[in-house]
Amino acid sequence: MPSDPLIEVDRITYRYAAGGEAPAVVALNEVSLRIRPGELVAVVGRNGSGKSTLARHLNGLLLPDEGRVVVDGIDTRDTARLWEIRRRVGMIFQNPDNQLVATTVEEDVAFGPENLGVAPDEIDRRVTWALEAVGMTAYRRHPPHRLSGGQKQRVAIAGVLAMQPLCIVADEPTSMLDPRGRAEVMETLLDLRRRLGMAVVLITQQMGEAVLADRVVVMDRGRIVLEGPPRTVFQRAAGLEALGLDLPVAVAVAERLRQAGVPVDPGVITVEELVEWLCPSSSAT
Amino acid sequence: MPIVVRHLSHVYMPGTPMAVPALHDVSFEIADGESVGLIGPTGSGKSTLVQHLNGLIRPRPGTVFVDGQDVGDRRTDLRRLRRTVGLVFQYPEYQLFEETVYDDVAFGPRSMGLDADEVDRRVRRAMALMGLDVEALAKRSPFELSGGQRRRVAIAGVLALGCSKLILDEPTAGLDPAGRRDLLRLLARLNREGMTVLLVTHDMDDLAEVARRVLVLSEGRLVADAPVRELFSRHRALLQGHRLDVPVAVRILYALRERGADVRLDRIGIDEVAEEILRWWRATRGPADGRAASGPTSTSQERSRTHGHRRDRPRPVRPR
Repeated sequence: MPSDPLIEVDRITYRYAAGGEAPAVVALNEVSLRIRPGELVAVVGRNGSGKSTLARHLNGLLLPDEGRVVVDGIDTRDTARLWEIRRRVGMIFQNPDNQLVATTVEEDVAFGPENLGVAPDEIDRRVTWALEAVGMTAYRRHPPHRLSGGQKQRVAIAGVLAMQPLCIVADEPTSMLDPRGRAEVMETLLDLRRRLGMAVVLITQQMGEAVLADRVVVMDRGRIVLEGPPRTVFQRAAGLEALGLDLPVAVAVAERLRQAGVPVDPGVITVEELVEWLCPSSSAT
Repeated sequence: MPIVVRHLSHVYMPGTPMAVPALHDVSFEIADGESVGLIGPTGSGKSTLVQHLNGLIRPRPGTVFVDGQDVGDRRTDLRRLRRTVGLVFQYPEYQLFEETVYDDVAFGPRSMGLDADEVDRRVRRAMALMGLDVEALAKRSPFELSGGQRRRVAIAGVLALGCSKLILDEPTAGLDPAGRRDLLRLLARLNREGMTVLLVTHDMDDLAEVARRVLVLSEGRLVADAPVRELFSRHRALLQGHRLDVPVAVRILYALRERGADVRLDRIGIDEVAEEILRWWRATRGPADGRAASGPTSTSQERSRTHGHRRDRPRPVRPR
């Protein structure tokens, strides 16, 4: 084993009542997954594929009906240790407006550690560090409601960072943001992995975000149907479309070019790579 | 008849210390049958603007005319106006509440006091327009449907009011790629069949698929009003200055161009971009086909490709 997993999801099944007399819906069906330290894992899949349900199992927001989830050695069913789990795995959600609670940015970031009873000096240090990590130091005393969507999400990420987690689970954190906000949040998440070695699990509908991950997990009907580095996953163009997913734009363009006889390297998955393949910078015409 | 907005400004809580200017001297027209995108970063005034178009906010100062009716005139029948201009809010499926899909779509026409035959005719037509199979879905609960279907049911409910203009606020937000594709295709078809469509979005790819003309709003001001191809091919810097950018596919063309490739920039969508790259590729390396890549970029030759029956009226872009 290369390194001990931070989170081990072991054959979990989760059902929820459909309402009325309808049979229960199987949202997760014997799903197994390992998240290793410092890894950025993107989870993609159509609506209802189970990706958000999976995300909510990673910090004990949901508990599996069968199988188990172990976070840094702690089984999430051990409800007495729930807060230890939540401290290790922080979550960011879609809507930036629902996640900020305080009247200034710094109070908001301090909220989590205050609840944990962290000493004031230490809280101050953590707030400073967390705001620095997401590039929001200049907004420390601003009221959160005056920030842009992307800035709000970065403050929400700082709030999670102040808990000093080992992993951040972000459930479609960019879906309600404008393009600049999306780019800011993605850059922040990539930076956390790069600079702090933090594990990040990113649930997303944006294939352009998934190509930036170390590993892509494709879900469909409660199961993991494809898993691997983005380069491997996104080469399976036909298969992905059948799973209701878009191809990353560069992959879709490359695919059409190949069909027309241009031998674009199948390893090309980003815009930069496609441009470099078509028109190498060393021999630009 | 068109939507005509003249010198529209709006301030929330005017005359108080909390006053927030939301729109500043906005003027434009939307002709019948047009398909227009309204874009702008978060907080640019998009929602405030569209709420004026169906009378949720009275214009003051400035005027809004819809089909010749003055929205600001107290005598204007706002209920009639709202049947003419259908407004689909974000996540409209959260407002579904009836037990069956049919009843949900029928809610609007029934509350207008129409007879059962007319209600039935409207429900069937609205569902068909949204690609929903009436026989298969009418008796189902909306809550059994997929997210994409639920959203289409909610839009059908607005169409059943008999509107001739449809405004949609971020209609693809939260949909998965397949749901998004289906909905965009249906909106484009609806427009071809004569519906005026105003799409409010910050998704440039959605815009490229549905709209032929784009209004760009930033900090309450209209900073550009141009055909979509012209905007993407000639005004990228303006978009970037307002926290926006061209669609990802178009960025490939810009990047190639920066490296000296003679590609045109006025292409939208993956198919057109791939086609353009292919043309350039063959022109530069195809042994059989030695013709040089064609000249400078220009949108004028493209007009025939962009639905010739509609007027893609070129307009000057007004910088701030």
